Amino acid sequence: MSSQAELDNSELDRVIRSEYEAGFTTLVESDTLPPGLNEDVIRVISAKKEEPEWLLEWRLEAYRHWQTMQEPNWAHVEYPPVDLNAISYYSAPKSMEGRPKSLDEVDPELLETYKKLGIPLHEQEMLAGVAVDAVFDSVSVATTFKSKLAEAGVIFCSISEAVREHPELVRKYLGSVVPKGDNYFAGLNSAVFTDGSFVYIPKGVRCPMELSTYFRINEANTGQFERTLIVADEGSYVSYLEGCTAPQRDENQLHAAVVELVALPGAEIKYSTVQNWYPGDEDGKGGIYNFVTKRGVAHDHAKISWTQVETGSAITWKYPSVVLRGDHSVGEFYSVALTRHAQQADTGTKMIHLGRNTKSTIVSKGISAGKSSNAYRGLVRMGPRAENARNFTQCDSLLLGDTCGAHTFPYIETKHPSATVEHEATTSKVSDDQLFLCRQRGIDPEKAISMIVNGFCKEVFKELPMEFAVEAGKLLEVSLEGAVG
Amino acid sequence: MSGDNALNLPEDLKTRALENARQATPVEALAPLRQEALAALEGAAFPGRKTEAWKYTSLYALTDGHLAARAEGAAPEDLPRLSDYRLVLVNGRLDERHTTLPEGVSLGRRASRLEGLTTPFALYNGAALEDAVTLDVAANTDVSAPIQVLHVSAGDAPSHCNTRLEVNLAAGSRLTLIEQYLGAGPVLTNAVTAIQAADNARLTHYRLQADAGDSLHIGTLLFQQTGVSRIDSYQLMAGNRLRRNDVRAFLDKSGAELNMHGIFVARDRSHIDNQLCVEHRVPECTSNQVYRGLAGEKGRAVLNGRIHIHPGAKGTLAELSNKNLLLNPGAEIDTKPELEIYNDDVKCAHGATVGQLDALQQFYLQSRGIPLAEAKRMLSLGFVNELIMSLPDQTVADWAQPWLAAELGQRPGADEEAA
Amino acid sequence: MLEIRDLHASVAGQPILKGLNLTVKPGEVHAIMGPNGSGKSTLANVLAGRDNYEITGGEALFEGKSLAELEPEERAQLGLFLAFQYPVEIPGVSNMEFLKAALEATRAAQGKEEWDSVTLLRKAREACKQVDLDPQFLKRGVNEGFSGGEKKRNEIMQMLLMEPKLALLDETDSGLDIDALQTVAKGVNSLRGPERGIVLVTHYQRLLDYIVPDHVHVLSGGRIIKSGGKELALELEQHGYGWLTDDQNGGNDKEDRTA
Repeated sequence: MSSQAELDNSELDRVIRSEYEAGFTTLVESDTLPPGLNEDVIRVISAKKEEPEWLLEWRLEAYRHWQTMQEPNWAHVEYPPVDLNAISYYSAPKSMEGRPKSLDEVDPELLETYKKLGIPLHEQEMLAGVAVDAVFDSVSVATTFKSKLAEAGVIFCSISEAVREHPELVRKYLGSVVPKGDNYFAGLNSAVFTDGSFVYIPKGVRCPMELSTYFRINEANTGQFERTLIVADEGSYVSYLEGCTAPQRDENQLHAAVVELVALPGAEIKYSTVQNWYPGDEDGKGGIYNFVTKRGVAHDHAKISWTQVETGSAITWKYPSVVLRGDHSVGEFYSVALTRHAQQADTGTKMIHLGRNTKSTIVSKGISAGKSSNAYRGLVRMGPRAENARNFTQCDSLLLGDTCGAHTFPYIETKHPSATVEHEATTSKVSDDQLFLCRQRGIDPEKAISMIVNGFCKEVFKELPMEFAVEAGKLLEVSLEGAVG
Repeated sequence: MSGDNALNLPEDLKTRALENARQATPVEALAPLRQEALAALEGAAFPGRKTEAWKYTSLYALTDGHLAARAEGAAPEDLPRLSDYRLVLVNGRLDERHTTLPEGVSLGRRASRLEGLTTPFALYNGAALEDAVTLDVAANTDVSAPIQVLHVSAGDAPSHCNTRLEVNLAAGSRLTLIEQYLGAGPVLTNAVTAIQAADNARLTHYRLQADAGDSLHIGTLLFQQTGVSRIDSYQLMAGNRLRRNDVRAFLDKSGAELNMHGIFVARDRSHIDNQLCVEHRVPECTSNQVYRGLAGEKGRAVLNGRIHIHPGAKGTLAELSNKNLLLNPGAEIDTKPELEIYNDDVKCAHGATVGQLDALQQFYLQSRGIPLAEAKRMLSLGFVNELIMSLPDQTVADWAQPWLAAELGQRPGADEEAA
Repeated sequence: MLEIRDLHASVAGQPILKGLNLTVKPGEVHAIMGPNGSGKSTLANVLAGRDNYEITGGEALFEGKSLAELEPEERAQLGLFLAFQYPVEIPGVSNMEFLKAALEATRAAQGKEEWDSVTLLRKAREACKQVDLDPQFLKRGVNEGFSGGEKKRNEIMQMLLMEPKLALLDETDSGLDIDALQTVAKGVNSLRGPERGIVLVTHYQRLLDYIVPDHVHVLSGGRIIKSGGKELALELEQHGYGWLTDDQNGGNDKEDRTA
């Protein structure tokens, strides 16, 4: 790994030195841009993706605004500053060279985890970035997938493809939920995003299957600056799954994705995430920084539901939110966040009630172990027109051990007298009595704890699609191993 | 007053504060504290629009120049009496004519350097002090009748005063303290009250804030439970032009218990912001907080209730409950109960609700012939009644009931607005 | 005193009463029976003026005044009393305080002399005794933590104190054991008099063993489909509602029978 990094660095140094002599054309032709960010870099990204003029302009505006912004510091997380000029903002998909040639060359600990999660061999290869040609089974699965979706009129493709094939939809909705100047990381994403998914469900269509990024193999590299846009037209329904329970290898430290959901009148979007990026070693070294902006707008009678199981990343900064713009719209947030070792998570949601008779539910389960820090941060805002709006929030923390931290920061702002907000939070531990009972019945402590933790998370797991829920349970079990003394 | 000042209010406030602090002429015993506080103030920043702890409270009202002048005015002759024992501070200065203290309680004109007084306003209070009162309750003294401390602000023009009270309960002592704030003029009361309780001390504390109208109040209330002690604090607070109460409690000896009960009401255009922070720093302490808030007309009521469990504070029991009533459109309630926990062997919970009067209850009362306005008043009163009923001292309850009845009463035209 | 003509009413936009006629004269006791969902409770709530219970056609006159135009408290002040099917709990407002406010408002409106606190307390205690309610209840919050039976007795206690002209009892018998039922009946019977009208809304006949009505009406599908004397109640007891409602072939009772 380290020799690889050195190699990359010297390569990059060379490119940096040659930057100005080589000029724009050379940049476009090269596979990897030198580290650093400026307007030329953005022009190159846009040119490489053969984007229309309006999108380039959009990116440049985002960039110019972003330059005036400051990195937020209010979250309950600590990390050394990220040097954004040390990042290369475009690189073509990795060639087979330099990748492990077989699973024998992969970190055995990673393989052990895959085995525990029961991941099939060929998927292990894909996840570990083994240089095998595209995973054949998945390709065929993906093909059947595509034809079925096309029949229903569902568009599911990469965002770059959507820019080319469905420019009118992208132009209409891109940035309509998370404006390009929304926050520091979203601003950066808007300027430089290179990858992501696009979904459009036509009027009245119930998407015939759960859409999963896992099968969208046409872009193998998970981008550092992913951009996802899902538009559910009137009366449609879609369930979207993101991520994967297996720990994913990724050499990019900073991830600043943006996800935008648009639920038009009567539509429903269910967005489920399992996030298990590399959390770093026991001291958090080398782990991924996950600074994500996720937000949906629900129009009249529409419903947006976020479910997330977060176990990875060194730092998580993430608040999937719903703007309940339409009357009778519904927002939901179900979350399990597990932190261990030196992980830090500051995650939660925002429910912005604008319309009448809007309803939101928040269930957050935080589990902290090791030396980690786990914070729920939420905002429930009842606007001046949110007549009869309702929110219920349940926010529970489970602490494993006395060196971790669990925090709750719920903001409640109410401007309408007929709105009702209820917030409850508790904190607990796995009690000695519970453990003793299990052990007395012959269950080993690790298993007992994982049972108790699973019970603690049940309310959230039941919101996940069945298969995902089983995997999520297993994931927690594996993540908790050795977490308890 | 000028637009320029408004543009950089935090800087302006700091400049004024430092100027005032340097010119203050304190009683001798306060000089060392003043120097230290002044040094700290020099390094401090006054809150601006983006300061998280002041998210819901703007200091814009202070552009009227309250910090530019010290309040000069006389207290009204007719001061309320809630006990035989009384102490009166007018614009922060002790009015010796009124002082009557029970045996076992001694009075000093001094103040101490204390942990937890960290806000710029608390620092300014220390840096600009010209007078201060410390009450020492002797060990094993049981003071039967309450001591009433009146903080009176008086002045006709925008101005301010710094008022400071410290109370030390020695081991085994018992005390009932009634702190009452009075004043209606355009005076900012910058208050600090610090109470320390040693082993087996027991304090019943009241904080009555009915100073209304143009008055402003920014204050810190500090509890330091250095001994196995019990403090019950009852806080009855009306909003005014700007009211900001920071309450900090340190539970520093295992077995200490703190109970805080509060009612805060923001009617008309008034504002009240409560910032509570209870620090559990040692094992086996208990804290319990119950706050009820109401906002009506254009009033705004804010509560931020933080419970901080430090590493090692195992066996902590900590709870906070904050229920709020929003009476009509135009009013606002913002609440944020916070937990910050660094130990697993604890029992902590908080709950917050914001709602409105129950329609079915209103109908039930109406169906018994009670007019709507009266029904609303009764239900609002019922919402806070539990706390009023739990007040241990009858004199305070007798004061509180009519006060609340007036605070929760019908406002002209409120019904049409609600309809 | 109560004159209901072709009354149509809906609850939250849903039509429930569909042309109901009923006349109650002073001194009469009427029982309104009917299957679940027939509109019995709707009638009681419409008359008392509950929110969302809207008169959409016809009229209901009380003492010659149109109820539709009156606020709930104005109806109460005129002497109309509803004993609720599900009395609400009001923590923080004591029964005594509540009674004082209610009696002050209604007695003043009716030109009756005001009761001082001592009289009120004495009367309230007597009323409690009459319905076997511990006077300690007066100090507690309205219905707060009361059992189902205690809540119902509390309703009757309030009725005794308020001496209404017309009492509507909405399923007051439901959920009561036989002792409590007799207590409640005793309270209601003590109020019977030539000046007072009483309307009992009930699903079961058993209350009518203790409070013998002058008239019995069967409500189904939002209308009164049969009226008669007290013997009608016995018939219903024996045969159920089926033989009546089948003829009518309507109403919301279908679910009931399948359930």
